Amino acid sequence: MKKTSLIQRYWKNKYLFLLLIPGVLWYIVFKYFPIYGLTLAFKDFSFRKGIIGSSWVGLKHFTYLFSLSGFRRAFTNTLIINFYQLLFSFPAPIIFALLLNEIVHIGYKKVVQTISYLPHFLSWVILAGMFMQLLSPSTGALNHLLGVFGIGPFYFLGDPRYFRGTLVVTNLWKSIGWNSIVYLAALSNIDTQLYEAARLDGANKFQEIIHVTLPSIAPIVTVMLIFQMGKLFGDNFDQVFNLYNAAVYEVGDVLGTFTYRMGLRDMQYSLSTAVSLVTNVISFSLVIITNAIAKRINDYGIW
Amino acid sequence: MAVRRSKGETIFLAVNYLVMALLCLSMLFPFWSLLAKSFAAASVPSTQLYFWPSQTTLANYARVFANKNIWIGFGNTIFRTVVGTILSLVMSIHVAYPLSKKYLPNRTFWTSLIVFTMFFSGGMIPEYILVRSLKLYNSRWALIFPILLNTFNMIIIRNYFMSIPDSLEESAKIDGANDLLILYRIIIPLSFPIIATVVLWTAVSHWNAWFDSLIYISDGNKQVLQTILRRIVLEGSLQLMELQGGAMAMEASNVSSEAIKAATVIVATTPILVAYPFLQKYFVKGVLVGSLKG
Amino acid sequence: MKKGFVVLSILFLGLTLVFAAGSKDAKTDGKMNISWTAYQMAPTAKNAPMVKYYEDMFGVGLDVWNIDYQQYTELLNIRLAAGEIPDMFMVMNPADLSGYVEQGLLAPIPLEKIKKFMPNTYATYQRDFPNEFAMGQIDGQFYGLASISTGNMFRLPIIYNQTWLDALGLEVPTNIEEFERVIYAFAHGDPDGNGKKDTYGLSMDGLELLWGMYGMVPYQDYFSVKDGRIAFMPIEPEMKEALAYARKWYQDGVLDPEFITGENAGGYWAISHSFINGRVGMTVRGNYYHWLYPGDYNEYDDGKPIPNQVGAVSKELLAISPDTKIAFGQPLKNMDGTQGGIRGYHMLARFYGIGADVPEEKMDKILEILEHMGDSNPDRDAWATARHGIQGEDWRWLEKDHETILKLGQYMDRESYRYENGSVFWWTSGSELKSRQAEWGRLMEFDKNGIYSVFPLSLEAMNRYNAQLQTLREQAYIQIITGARPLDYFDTFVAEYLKIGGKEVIDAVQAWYAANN
Repeated sequence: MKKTSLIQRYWKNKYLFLLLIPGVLWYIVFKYFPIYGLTLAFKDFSFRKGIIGSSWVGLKHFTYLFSLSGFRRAFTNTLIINFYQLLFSFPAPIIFALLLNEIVHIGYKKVVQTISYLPHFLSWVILAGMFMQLLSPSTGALNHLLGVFGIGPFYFLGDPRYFRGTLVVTNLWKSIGWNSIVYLAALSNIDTQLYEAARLDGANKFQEIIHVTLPSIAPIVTVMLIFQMGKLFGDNFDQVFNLYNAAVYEVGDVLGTFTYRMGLRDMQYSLSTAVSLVTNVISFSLVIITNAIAKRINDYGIW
Repeated sequence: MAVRRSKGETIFLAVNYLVMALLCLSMLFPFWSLLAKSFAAASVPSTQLYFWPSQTTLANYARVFANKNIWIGFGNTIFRTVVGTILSLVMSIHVAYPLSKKYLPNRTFWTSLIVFTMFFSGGMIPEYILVRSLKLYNSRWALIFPILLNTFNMIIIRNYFMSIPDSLEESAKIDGANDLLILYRIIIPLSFPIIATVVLWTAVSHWNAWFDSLIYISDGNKQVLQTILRRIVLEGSLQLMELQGGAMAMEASNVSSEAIKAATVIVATTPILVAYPFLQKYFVKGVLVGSLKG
Repeated sequence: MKKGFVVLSILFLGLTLVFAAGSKDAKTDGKMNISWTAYQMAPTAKNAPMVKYYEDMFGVGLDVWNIDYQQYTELLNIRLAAGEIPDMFMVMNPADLSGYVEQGLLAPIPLEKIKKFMPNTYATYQRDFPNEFAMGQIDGQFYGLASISTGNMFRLPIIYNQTWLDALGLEVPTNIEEFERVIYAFAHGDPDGNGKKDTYGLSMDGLELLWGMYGMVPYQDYFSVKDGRIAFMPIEPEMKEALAYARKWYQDGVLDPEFITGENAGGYWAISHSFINGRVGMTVRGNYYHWLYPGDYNEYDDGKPIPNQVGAVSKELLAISPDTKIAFGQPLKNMDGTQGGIRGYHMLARFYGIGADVPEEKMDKILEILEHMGDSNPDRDAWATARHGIQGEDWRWLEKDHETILKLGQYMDRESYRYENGSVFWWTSGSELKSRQAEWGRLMEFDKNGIYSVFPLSLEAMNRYNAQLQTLREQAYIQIITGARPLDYFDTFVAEYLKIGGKEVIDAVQAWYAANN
């Protein structure tokens, strides 16, 4: 009885399903077919035998990884830095988009928008050199500026106390414009009638933002937040690699830089698969949990 | 539009304008210094900061464009960007739409099937083997098919679709429209802002990608721009360290490796930067909903 | 507009399908086909003239794999993992040889064959590079032919600001006592005469000189022999002595307090911004040729002198302060008078091997080709042709007895031209450097007092523990120098170091040393 009803439901939505089929096929071919590569985490890879023919070794690579003190530290550092990112870099583009949205002159708005996404196109290699000069305690412009107010100087890149903050702020600066684009898109679709209605009710700008704007972009914010949770182990390798040094390993060494120094890129496929499997299982769980919470609160989520 | 503003609002606006201006200045600075450096003559020290170099030259750009491969690179990159973006967009929309419908049978299963792949993938080796066995090796399609769908982008589109009021669709259904018609006639026109966003994301990632080209392409005529520019930069710095082989360039060269590097960054980014202003009109506040309803 | 868009995209797609239609290359006409991996900056074109040239010369088909050399190992490994093995198998990083052999990817090359098919190369190995040649041997069999970069005979250069030395009435120091006097004067004697305390003696790279005095290269895996046993100097008591100096210099404001972030602030790697901006008075950054000044040597074209090109770092330095003179120093002598050294580069650059399963006949042919392409080829025209392309078209001799050429045509301003053109089969099997530049380098004694590791390869244990050992080391040194930890923390650090894998690594190298010496 239930079976027939399912078939009937598919038949009723045949067009919908037809649209889905090519995509599902693509996922099967390009994503599910190669997934056997994951087994490498539990095998000792042999070039001659290939992935399928290599012999199983159980959890050997995982126990080895967690026995490395450097790995454990990199693991926590990654988590802490990404948590800061979540706290500061996640809301920043939303606020930026809201502020930008309040600008009345279309021309000025467009110019600001265009300029704000420029840093996204500069690689960390280039930016690192600039930040090194800008943030120097003796010759850097920022410390000169702070000196005028009688603060500092700070060794932003060489002092473990400031390094994580420096990472978060520089990353925020680089990505704020680019990340705000999706929110600007959401803002642009808010029905203007809603604003007019609010204004008739005597709402001021701030109340308008609270009661009209924020609820309207809540769905997209929720989804972005869920994905951001999945990035708690994400790789900011390029940034850290170009900015860090031995004095800040304690606080700045992340999974990407640690595995890079281990030389995992070369022959140790099994180990690097194990690293990514560990982080991805956690990320995936975090996404599922956040999604469940979000669903309960405002009914928007990935599922 | 004469809106009366309270005093608080006026102050807020003034501060807002100022903050934006400062932020923009800080963001413009690195780009500007690269641009200035790309015009610097070899006699200008690469380590000095300047608003505009004391001696300028076009030789850096001439050097970059003298390499005939750069045109090949432009061709291939434009191909993968345009075709890749169009195909990605078409695929994403058609997958996103059914998934946005609560009445799609087993919707959770289909969504899970897709989202799962964001976190678990087989890695480079099986992907290379797959591309080989699909006979895509050394074909420009190898740069497009493996990244045809980006799950993140697709989910963003889907959620946008979900936020479109059901009422619009229901009235169309009463008029006898099927799902396809609703997608093309109602949903897509209402979703231009998010489509523009995803187009931008996809195009930029295609434009900047280079590692897949190193893995999948061995033919020099199919190389993308980024790999060729990386090579030009390398050639520039190689001239500084030529060990054997004697006198390299006998005439005093007017290019410096740092200036060439700056010029390649400008050449690599300008075309894609220009794309943004064209998409910007879709981000302008509340035009579409009103016009469509009316 | 929507319809137009649809039509346009369909049109575009159709066009691109035509454009992208793959072309298959089949190259089998009964000839022996050899797949070849090479050090190449750019992919070789399909009908590259030099590929054709050598195919005809050796009567074989040559299939160049076109792997970008910057990502060589990573890209090669993907293909190996997919079951493809090249016939001529270049091992970019010498440390990887043992791994490839363990994985069964390389064929053993009988010594008899090397002698028979590569007589000149073998003779050079025997005469000049017996150690490097022996490194290609695993369990008594040869798997890799050593590729030797003789350019690496020059160690790190030691540079002082001569103008500062003159202003202070000092000489280039030769021992630690004189060195301390110089750097303290650089820091406190206002060498630039601007009345401000804005100069330092040295920074991060300059410290290499201090480590070198004790025979150490602390940031690399350089192993030494001490009292007949393998020792890793950076954890020996000598390092503690060296750190005591560095720590004192830091406290006294002689070592740049910002040494942590290094001397190079972005841009070309060899530049020491601290030095060229007049912040420090000595450095050991870059290579000797980066510091060439105008008029250091001449080359001659038909008797007409051509002045040398100014080094990349000197050029920047002279642009900022045209009057600055520099002086080169030698590594320092220790208090007891023993001559110290400074980090040198290893001459063993790569290995050239033969892929597993290659039939004997093909192996003979590959060795024959390698012999022709190597540095020991007595026919110098053929030698230069292999490297640069067609004589008279792509290059001509400048001074043949100095083995220097002049690039012609497109090759003049595009290094990648020769790789596109098919000049990818050459390899540096090692030969004496004859260029005027190298002559100058020897004259200035940049080839003296280099420090080398007795074991330049890598072992399983090193791969395993390297990341955490290196981290611990670098961190401990910085903490001791900056005073974040007391000097005696060094002993705690050594104990910890040995515990987390340092001992395994030294034991492994010791075992190798015992077996090979």
